[in-house]
Amino acid sequence: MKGKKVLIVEDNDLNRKLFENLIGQYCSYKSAINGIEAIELLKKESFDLILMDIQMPKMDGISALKKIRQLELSDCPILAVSANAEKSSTAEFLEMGFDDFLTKPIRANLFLETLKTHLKKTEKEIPNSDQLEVPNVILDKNIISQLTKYNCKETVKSILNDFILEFNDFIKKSENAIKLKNSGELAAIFHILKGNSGTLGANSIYLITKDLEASTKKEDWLKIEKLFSKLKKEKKLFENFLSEEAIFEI
Amino acid sequence: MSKQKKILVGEDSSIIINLTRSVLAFENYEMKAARNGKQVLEMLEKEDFDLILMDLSMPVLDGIECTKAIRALSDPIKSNLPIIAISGNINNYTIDEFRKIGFNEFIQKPLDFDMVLATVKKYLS
Repeated sequence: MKGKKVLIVEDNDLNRKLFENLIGQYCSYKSAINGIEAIELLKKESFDLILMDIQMPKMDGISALKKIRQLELSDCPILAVSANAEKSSTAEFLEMGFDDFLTKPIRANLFLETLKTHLKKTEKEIPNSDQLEVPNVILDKNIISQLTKYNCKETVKSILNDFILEFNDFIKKSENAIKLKNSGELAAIFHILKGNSGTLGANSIYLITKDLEASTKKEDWLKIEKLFSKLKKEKKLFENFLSEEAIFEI
Repeated sequence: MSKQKKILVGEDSSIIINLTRSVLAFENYEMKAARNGKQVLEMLEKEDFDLILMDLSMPVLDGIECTKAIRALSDPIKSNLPIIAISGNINNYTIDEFRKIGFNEFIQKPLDFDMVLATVKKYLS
């Protein structure tokens, strides 16, 4: 729980103090006394979990939850805290969109365990882009149609041309770097080429460059030379492909 | 009408800078580019921005060191600017680790520009 930040939304001073004391032992927190205050805080900073009382003045917990999700202020888990007397079941709270439900009066152990479980889920693993599946095509139509959504076709074409110009320059520089076995410079070149080809949807170039970058890090010069000649061939194919203007009539 | 929002992009690839510029112009955002972290800091000192898009791997000063430096600035407006990381995540960071460094959000490379625009909008609207 260390390093996490919890937002406590509770109007009752005594309960709020209790939550603050419990949570404060493990991680940082901020408190709000109603939904409106909570929303103001969420506009300014991000939290890893929100503890939401249900009955509060000005804006209750259910309205606050709806507002938070509707305005996309946070996608962190939101846990409802409500008194036993309000005879609502966990299922009902989950249906409303809460991630869990805790009954008041709380029991310290269960309370902390529940928080811990939900905070763990926020430790989302982000995939390494190099591991993402990419279709092996010369030019990815999906990416191009996304680019033409924001740019006119002429702009996309001119950016693709810039890409080739820069590519020519990279080839020259790489040939030199391979001769000198300068793996540092080579890795930097392939890194930029990888990012650019991937962004533009030049997938087959992207896939080879990805392998090239990895081989360069390992200084596997045999493999580098093999892949590099493959890259030059792919570049030709790409240029031929672009000269067929039809690809922009998507 | 509200003032046009200004975005600073720290990125060493001119192609990505150009594409990002058109995408941001689509929502009428103004964009300026810096080629490395040092330039980001220099521009931030001279001008006001509303948001920063930051590539992680840049020459001279990388996106992580640059973000740490921004978070340590004395001007509270500048040090609290939303900073969105853009990266292939070769270091295998988790969202949590990105947050700890000081980033508000992370966008995966190769860039999905719908995602870029949606994320930027979330912070600027």
